[in-house]
Amino acid sequence: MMNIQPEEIYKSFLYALHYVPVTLYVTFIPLLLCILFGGIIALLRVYRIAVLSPVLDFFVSVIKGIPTILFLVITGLLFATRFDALAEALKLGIRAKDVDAVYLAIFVLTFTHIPVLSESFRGALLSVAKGQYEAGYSVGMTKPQTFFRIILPQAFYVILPGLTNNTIGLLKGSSLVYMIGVTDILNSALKPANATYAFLESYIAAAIIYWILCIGIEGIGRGLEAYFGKFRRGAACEKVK
Amino acid sequence: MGPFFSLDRVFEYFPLVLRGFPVTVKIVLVATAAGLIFGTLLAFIRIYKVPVLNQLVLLYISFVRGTPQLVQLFIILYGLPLLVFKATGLNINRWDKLFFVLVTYSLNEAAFFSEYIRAAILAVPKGQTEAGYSVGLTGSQTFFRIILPQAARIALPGLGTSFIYLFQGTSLAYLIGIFDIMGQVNAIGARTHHFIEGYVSAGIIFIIISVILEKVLHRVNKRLAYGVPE
Repeated sequence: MMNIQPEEIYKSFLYALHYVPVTLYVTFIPLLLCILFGGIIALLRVYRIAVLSPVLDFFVSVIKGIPTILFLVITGLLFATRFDALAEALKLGIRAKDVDAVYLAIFVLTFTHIPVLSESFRGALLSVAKGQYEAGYSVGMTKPQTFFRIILPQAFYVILPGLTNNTIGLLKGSSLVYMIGVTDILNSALKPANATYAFLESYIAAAIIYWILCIGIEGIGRGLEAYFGKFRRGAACEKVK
Repeated sequence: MGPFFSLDRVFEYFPLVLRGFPVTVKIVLVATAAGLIFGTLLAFIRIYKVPVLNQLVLLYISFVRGTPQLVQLFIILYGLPLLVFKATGLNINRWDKLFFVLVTYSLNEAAFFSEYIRAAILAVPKGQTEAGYSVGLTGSQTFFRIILPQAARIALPGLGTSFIYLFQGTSLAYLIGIFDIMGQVNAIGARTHHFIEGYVSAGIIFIIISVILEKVLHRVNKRLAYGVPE
């Protein structure tokens, strides 16, 4: 029974720090893409566009049900075995081994989290009182005008806490990308352990890094909430802890 | 897709993959039950701001919410035996891996649940507690007979969503050798070198579970919100 060796934690910590950019890359690029696509999907579902809405409802339910890791391994497997055939069919010059696994990771993480974000956005949009929409139309604004000038600013504030949560979810989800060959925080923290078998220390180091990142994200989230909530009566009077 | 993907194999593997389902359910149920109990305890510590424990609980919740489940799983797997050994001299390294999985997910759920439960209990108007005391009920009587039913209604949507995500969260357990749904898929794949059909089966199972649970949760939420103006 060994004791915990703090030097090992420190070593793994330093090792893993190098790969923090990779993790941030794999977290924030999907975040931006998810905001884009999730937002569009949420809009389509809230405004009940004829054919698209039921189809999107179905897709969101289905994709929400698949665990990220399953998606990752399926995509990894399909990519490794089928991509070359596809690339040849499309006359593209690249082959599977030329593609950096990071892009695959970004694709999968975006795909799995679009439903989550669109649900979040949808909830926020629906929380804006119907009267606001009616007020906009009653003074002669068009749908887009009402949306951008009246609804969106109000919905935006409601979205923020959920968005913080979703970002943290993405960050934690990114820890799985080692399954398709991307070296990130978790992966790299374990490298020293292969020689010393100090696995626990490596995981602790990785955990600390993730924890710090999450605290940072939460801090940013709270800051944004305080800033945008300035004009909210009630919420602006309370001290944001 | 030639011999790489075969629909026949999907049908053939489906019942085999399904054999992992009871293990998944077991993990989910135990984690939920333990999470509720421990989570309520944590919620109370937070509500009453118990001096030292409050800070510890805040730290604990922050850690659990801020680190990936995979990392937590391995830390418990490698770290818990050390802790138990230091405290009691008992060597639990050889215990069934499932135990560590259950501990990890229970602790995880407890942290998430405690936030929902805390918000729900605080959302019940203070007048209810006062009313309970004023007719002579003791503290715990007031809690269990008056506050809890009302808080449960408020907490249910959040707890329900957590529950659904827990099903997907357990999919990580196979990485340490648990034979749940994903574990069976891995076993089949290792035996037959046909992974894709197993993955498809697992995907179908997860989707069905998720969709059914969502519909149930939706119905339950609607029933609970009976009478509440939109």
